[in-house]
Amino acid sequence: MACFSEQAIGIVALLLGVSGSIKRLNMADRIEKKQQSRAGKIGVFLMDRSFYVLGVLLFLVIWQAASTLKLFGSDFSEAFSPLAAALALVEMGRDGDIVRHAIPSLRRVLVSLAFAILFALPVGVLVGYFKRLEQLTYVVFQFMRMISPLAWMPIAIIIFGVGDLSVTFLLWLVAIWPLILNTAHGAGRVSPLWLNMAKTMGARDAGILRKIIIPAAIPDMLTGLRLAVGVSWIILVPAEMLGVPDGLGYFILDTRDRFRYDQLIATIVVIGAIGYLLDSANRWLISKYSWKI
Amino acid sequence: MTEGRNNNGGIGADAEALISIKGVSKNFKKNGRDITVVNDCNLDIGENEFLVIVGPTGSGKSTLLKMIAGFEAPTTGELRVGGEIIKGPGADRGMSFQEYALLPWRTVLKNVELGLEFKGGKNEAENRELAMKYIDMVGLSYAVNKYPAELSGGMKRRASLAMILVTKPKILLMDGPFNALDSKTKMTLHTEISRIWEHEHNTIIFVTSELDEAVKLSDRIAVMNKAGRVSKIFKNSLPRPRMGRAVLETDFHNRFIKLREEVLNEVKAGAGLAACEY
Repeated sequence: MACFSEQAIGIVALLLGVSGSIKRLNMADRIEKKQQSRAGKIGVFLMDRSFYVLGVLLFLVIWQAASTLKLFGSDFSEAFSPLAAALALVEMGRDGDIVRHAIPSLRRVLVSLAFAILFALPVGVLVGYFKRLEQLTYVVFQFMRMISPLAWMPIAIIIFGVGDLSVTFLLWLVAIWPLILNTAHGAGRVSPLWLNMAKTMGARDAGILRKIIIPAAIPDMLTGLRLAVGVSWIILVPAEMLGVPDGLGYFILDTRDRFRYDQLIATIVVIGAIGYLLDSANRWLISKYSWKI
Repeated sequence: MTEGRNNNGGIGADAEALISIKGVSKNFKKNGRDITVVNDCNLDIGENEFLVIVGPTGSGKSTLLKMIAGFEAPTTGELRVGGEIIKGPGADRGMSFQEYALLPWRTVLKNVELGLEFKGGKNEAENRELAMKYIDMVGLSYAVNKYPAELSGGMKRRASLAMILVTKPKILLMDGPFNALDSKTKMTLHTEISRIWEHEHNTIIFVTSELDEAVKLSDRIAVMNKAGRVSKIFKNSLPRPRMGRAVLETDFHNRFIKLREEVLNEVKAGAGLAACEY
């Protein structure tokens, strides 16, 4: 009992400390940051980092507690716990299952993205630049955008057959819309002032396209890419459940059929982790290549 | 010194006008109502002339300049450059914008190099050298590698000025290029623009609302009134250079003040006219 109360005090103290720090960050953030010394800056950086880590740890603790203490009912088995998943992950790493299934998944997403970029960027620039073309395509594009590519699955299979080609096509189909629409938005945002200026400098159409319109649209293209990668990765799993012999989506079904729920959870963790890394890469691209007004 | 109410302007009858503006009006629709911004404007501008257009705000100075640049088409009348009707913007007419037309993803240096890249022909090192020369001229050498977002308003203005000067257009259209600059920079740029004009023999049409500037720079001063008309053209025969020691001479000074006074009265009359109309 004494031990418990000590823990409770510890938790209360932690929570107080946490809420205190949050308040401090919110209220006097700007002023403090300006006045801080180098050591102070490092302190704030570590403080910020530790909260990101703390969030992950809290999540893991709740998750583990949920399976150990059966918080979500008795069906939430011990095999669903992060500990079991970690062990399964080590096992899958050792016998090569992760790599064997992650590589085809990444390949499908990257190949379909490459084709989507080749198709969508020129289309987006044209649609964004020519008002008539935008009017011509607006309804159709907005309409198509809202259809889950999985709805096209039967048609994809009729045309491309069961297998890689169908999956790649579906991923391509989901990736082109954010790319087209964002690129169009970027190209449409080109200031008429820039175009006028370029013309008074004797620029021709090709020069205007290369030096004004495309660079102007790059931040939006990258935003489109980030969205495209996100939806592609999300659609990948169900798409790979439809008649391919490998990939993380396929492996989810495989672990289910073998009753290896620890491996299933581990695969989910891998899917989340790769998705997170892909998104981080995109965020890095955006921060590096986006211009600001 | 003045030419009286002569809308056809002051260049001699024998001189071929480089730019000719005949009966040009420009209407805009605003809330369903037609607003006449430029009203039956006639103006001839000769080769290597420095014309300054002054007038109260809303007198159509900028619109007239935009029509010469080819960004706006006149509602009636015609504008010609070298005998050809103006159909759109062209490399012969460089425009320095009132707004800043800097590309936000390029540094000052890369922005100034833009026009040279469009022209082509020269290599990168030559472009860089030329761009640096003009950046230096506008006093921005300390900020060559900064992006527009990092520049103050005055710095942006100077950068866009360098951007257009470096392309050496035959006709330079300047819409309030020195507005909102500090007086030291402004004086430097007055000297530089006069020097460029004398060296490159280009034609400059310069819109401003500052009369000192107008008298300092111009060959002629066209006054536009609230009705969008060129109400009067003053010939400015003050000797050049008009900076430095020359300004201190009593005769020069008196003539300067007298001309400015006459222009000011004309501008006031033009602005007052509108007050009666409304």
